[in-house]
Amino acid sequence: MTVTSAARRLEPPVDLSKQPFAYQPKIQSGVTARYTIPVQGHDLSLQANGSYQSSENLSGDEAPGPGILQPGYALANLRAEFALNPRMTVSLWSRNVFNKEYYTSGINAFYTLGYASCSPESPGPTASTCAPTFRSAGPAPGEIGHRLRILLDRQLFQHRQISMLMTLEMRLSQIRVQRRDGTKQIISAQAGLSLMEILRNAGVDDILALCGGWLLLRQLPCASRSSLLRSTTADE
Amino acid sequence: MPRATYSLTDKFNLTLGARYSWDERRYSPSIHHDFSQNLLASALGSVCFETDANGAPLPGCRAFEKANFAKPTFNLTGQYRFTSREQVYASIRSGYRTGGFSVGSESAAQRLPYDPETVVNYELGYKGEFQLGETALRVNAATYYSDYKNIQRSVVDCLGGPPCALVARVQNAAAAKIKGVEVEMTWALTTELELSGFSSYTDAKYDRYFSSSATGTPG
Repeated sequence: MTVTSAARRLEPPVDLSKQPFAYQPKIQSGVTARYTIPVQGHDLSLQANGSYQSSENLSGDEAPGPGILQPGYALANLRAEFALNPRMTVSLWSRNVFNKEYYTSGINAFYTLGYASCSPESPGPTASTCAPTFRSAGPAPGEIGHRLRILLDRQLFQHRQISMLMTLEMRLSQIRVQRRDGTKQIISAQAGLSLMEILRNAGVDDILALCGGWLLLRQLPCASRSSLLRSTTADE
Repeated sequence: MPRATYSLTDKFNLTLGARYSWDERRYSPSIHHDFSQNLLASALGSVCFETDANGAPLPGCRAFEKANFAKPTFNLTGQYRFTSREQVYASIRSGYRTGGFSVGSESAAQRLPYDPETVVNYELGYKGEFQLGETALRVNAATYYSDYKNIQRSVVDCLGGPPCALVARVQNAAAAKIKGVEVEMTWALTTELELSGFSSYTDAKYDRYFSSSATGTPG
C-alpha cells in the first residue's frame, strides 16, 4: 500500500534516540489474595486482584507529546474458579470491576495536524459483565464485552464478517481529540466513516486535509479496504 | 539449547549452553490490485504491482526472494545454593530473532531483507523459600540488564524519491538498553488463604531510533 509523498514534509523523521520505549510503564505491580475452599470434593477458589502501572507513552512511533500520555492507573479484578476435575475448571470473572477507562494506543499528530487521538481499552458498560469460561491464557481487559457483542452480532446478522466489522467499529467508538489551543474533546465515532470525516463532522475544522485516511489505515489495517472503497464511491 | 551442567562443589553449579542457528527464509510475494469493485476504475480490472528493479511487472506477477541468516548464541549460568531452599544465580545469555522480509513488498527495493535482531542479557537473582511459624513464604528477586542491537521495527520508509512512495517496512531501525528489577512474593498464610504480589521496575531506552524516518532521502 503506497501513499504519495505530498504528506512527507509534514512529518519529518522523529528522533527517538535516548527516549523511553512506548507502551512500557516504569513501574508495574500487582497483589492477589486467593482463598480456596473444598466444596463437595472440588476446589472452589475465590480471588481478588489489584494491579497498578505508572504512566505510559501510547504512541509507538511518535515522540511523546500532548494527548498521548496515559497517566498511571490501578485496576481491580475478581475471579471465582471451580475445579470440576484436574483438567477442567469453570470460572466466573470480572476484569476492571470499577470500569476504569484507560487508553491503550494512540497517534500523536499534534505537531503536524493539530490533534492527537487515542483508543480506549474499555468498550463501555459491558466490560465488567461476568461470563462463565474455561480457563485459558488470560483474556485482555475488556474482552468479555467484545465476546458478548460478537455472539449477539452473529445472531442478528448470521454473518461472521459483519460481526467482525462491528467489533472493530466498537473499538474505535470514542476518539479523544486535543486541539492546537489545548482544549480537549471526546467524540463518538460513527460506523463506516473515516477518522477525517468523523473529526470534521464533530466540528474539528483545524485539520489539514492530507493524510487522515492514512492515519486510519495505520491504526486499523483490517478495516482500511472497505473504508477506502466507501470513501471512493462517496466522492463520486 | 544443548547444555551441560558441572557441579564444581555440592553447592555451586555452572551451566554452559551453546547453539548455532541457520535460517533460510524464502519469500514469494504476488501483489495485484483488484479494481473490479471500484465504480471509478472497474475498467482497469486486475493490475500487477509486483515489479522488478526497473519497475516493470514481473512475469506471472510473482517475485522469488531468498535470504540466509546464521548466528551462534550461548548461555552461561552460575548457581550457588546456600541450602536446599535458597539460591543465588548469575547468568549471561545471548539471543537472536531471525531476519526476514517485509510483508506486502511490491518493488525490488521493498523486497530487500532485514537482518536478525540480537540481545545480550545479564541477570543476577535470588530465589528462596522460608517457613515462618505456621506459614510459608517464597521470594524471587532479580535484576537484569539487556543490550539490544539491530531491533526490528516497522518504520515508514520513503522509497524512490523524490517524489517518493511511503511504505511501511521492517528495518533494523533501533538499538536499546533495558535495565530492570523484579520482585515476586507468595505467602501461604493457611492452607486456604494465599497472598501474592509482584513489583517490577523497567528502564527501557533507545540508544538510537529514528521512527517513521525516510532515511537518507531529502525531505
